Amino acid sequence: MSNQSDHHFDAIVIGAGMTGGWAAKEFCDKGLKTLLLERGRNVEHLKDYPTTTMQPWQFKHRGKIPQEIAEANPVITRCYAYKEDAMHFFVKDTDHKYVQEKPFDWIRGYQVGGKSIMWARQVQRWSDYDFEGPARDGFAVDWPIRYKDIEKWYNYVEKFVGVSGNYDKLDTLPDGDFLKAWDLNVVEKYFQNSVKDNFKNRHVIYGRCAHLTEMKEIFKQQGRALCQARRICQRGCPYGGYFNANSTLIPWAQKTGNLTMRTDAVVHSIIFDDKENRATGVRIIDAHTKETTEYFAKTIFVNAATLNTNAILLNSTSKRFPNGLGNDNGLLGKYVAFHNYRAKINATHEGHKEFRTTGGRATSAYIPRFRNIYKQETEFLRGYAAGFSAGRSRAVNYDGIGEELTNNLTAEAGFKPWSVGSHMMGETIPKESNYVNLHETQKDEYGIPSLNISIDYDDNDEKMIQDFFEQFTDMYKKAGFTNIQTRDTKQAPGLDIHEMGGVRMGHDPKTSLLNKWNQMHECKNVFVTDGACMTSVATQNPSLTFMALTARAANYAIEGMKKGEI
Amino acid sequence: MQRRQALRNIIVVSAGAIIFPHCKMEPAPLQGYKNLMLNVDEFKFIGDLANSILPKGDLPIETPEPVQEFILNMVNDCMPLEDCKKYVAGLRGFISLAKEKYDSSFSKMTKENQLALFNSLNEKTEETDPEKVSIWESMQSFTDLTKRFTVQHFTGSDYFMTNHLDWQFLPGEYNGKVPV
Ligand SMILES: Cc1cc2nc3c(=O)[nH]c(=O)nc-3n(C[C@H](O)[C@H](O)[C@H](O)COP(=O)(O)OP(=O)(O)OC[C@H]3O[C@@H](n4cnc5c(N)ncnc54)[C@H](O)[C@@H]3O)c2cc1C
Repeated sequence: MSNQSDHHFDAIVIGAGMTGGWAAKEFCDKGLKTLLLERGRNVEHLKDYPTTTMQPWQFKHRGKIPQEIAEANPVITRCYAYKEDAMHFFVKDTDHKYVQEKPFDWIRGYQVGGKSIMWARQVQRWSDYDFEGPARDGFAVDWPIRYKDIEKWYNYVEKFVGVSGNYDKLDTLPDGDFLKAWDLNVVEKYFQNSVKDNFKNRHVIYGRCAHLTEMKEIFKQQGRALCQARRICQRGCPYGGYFNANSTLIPWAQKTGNLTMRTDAVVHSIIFDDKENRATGVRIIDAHTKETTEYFAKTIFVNAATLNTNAILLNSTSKRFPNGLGNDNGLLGKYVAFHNYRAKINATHEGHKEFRTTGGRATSAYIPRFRNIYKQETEFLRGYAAGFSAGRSRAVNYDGIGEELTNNLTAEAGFKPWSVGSHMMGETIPKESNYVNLHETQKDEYGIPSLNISIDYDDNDEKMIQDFFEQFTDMYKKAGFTNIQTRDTKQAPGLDIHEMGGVRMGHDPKTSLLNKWNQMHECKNVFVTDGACMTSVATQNPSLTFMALTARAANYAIEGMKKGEI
Repeated sequence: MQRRQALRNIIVVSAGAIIFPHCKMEPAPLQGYKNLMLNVDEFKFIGDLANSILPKGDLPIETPEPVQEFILNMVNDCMPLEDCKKYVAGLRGFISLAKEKYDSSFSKMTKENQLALFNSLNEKTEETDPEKVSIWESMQSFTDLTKRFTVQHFTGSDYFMTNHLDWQFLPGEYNGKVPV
């Protein structure tokens, strides 16, 4: 196909999504010849957002997924963002099958940009109350890092990404480097005050989000413009108003001249050389021709998103590692955890009838975890964060038929009362019994064993849901909200799209796969910096932490290569 | 594009009608709605019904497709096959009901009668024969769905969203406390 030198690089990054984009950018910025491998197609900023300028009435089904597709793809159809406008960015159930030993809704995006195209852009930092969780409460293993280790990398990432937020000065949710915030609306502020007056250590704050609300030089250099609050980000944004890898990291890395991007390249495994006792490269299968090719590099970053990263490592077997790369302790694929998103609460607010909102914004309010922060105080471990939003829409009178109906619809009918709602984002406890492995017989279209997923809720999660209902009902009642409705969606794990773990970080090679630099204990030139590395999951939307860990690990690897240690 | 497709469907069907003029009892099915297999008269009828349910008068409503096309796209593409079948049964029942009660095709009935017929389906049927009850229920679901999609086509239009629902494609800003 091409001469051998075309197959040798300083670094190989597997997966051109949010975290792989970061690794590639860091390497390219520091002058490393980098190969970025992506199993999906290219999605070029601006060029490949086919629906981005479409008005709602221009969609044939006004957003709805056709029945035939929904029936053939029940898992992806359950994802709230899988609608007619952005369905082309999601992997269908029929595209790359997996085995559900227990029900698991695996939501995936296989393309340059990965899931960063469709994500909801909520970004919060962890605090030491999160990093210290496993050690304090006696689950999983101790995190090998603390907030001080990652703080500057949070800054580093936020400066480039652009994060809109308020300086809330909370010990549970450290402030970042923020661009200005949109308004919380009058009812959200009312609830904020009600909670402050009635509860200790509970805070209703503005939900920090990865949107450009102010222009800075660094964003100009990326060619991005201010967010116009269209709230159809999942289609890709012609302004680059929110952060995705396609509008930022990838073109940035390309501009250095150091990036080679190979799309339609399904990574089969990492090649381990028993003689050299290190990983030497990556084996890929061309998605179309099914041809196998090998690429070589000094360092390999695995960023295929949590479960596919697990799959690649499990499939990377050698004499030295018969059970998967770096898997001497047999823990690879185990201790996978996620966020419990099952609980919702909605209500009506009869007050503030004299006000409404206008315009749009890309976020709403957020309530950081308040349970078991300073000490254990409930029957369940850990706790939950929650969203909160209030809104009010125009009333429309649908009664009648004929001219009466036309008149009713077009008559000014004022506004409905405010409706308010929250959803729980609960921390789940990583357990050995929540795992993924390779299926013994089922293979995918490339002959790679299918991933088998066996992940479930437990009693701790059930108790947490009850507590969320009780606490939020109480908070809502104290605010005078009426018509309070709680709902347990019973959704399977996975639909939170925050699966993490399986290749966890830790101090000890006997009980973890990665050291404090996201480097494999047993294979020092392989790094895992996506969600697979997470020792525990906290309650925050995780991607900001994945990005910060990636930038940190990439710079560590660069230093290591310079010193000849890697 | 969708409009062109619909036109093409009609042309195909009317060409068929010219070649087989004796098939008037059963005009050839309209292509494109494979779960419904309507004929061109039925297609037209949906449009007539929608315009009776929700007459647009002089309102400057422009939509990418005529209302009957939208309704049928939604039913054919977005509903389970069972429900599509029920929809067609209800549609055919409704056309027969018009003939039975008013000895007329729907489009030739007075507006009052059209609406009276439509509204009569809000009532429970007095029939006890399970087959007739089932047809009645199909007609009810047919009128409900046709009204729902007619209204959606209207309220989801550029005109309605912009003038009645404060729709802005590029709001740019957010105001969280604005007097009503
Ligand atoms: C609808 C939605 C809303 C979300 N909202 C939020 C939010 O508000 N906040 C938040 O923090 N997170 C959110 N997320 C999650 C967030 O998108 C992910 O955490 C983030 O994208 C993870 O980055 P990643 O690089 O690990 O994975 P991805 O961005 O998914 O990228 C992984 C890439 O690896 C490629 N790949 C996989 N396997 C292989 C292989 N074998 N060979 C080659 N390439 C491979 C994939 O094709 C993909 O391009 C949301 C996700 C979705 C879908």
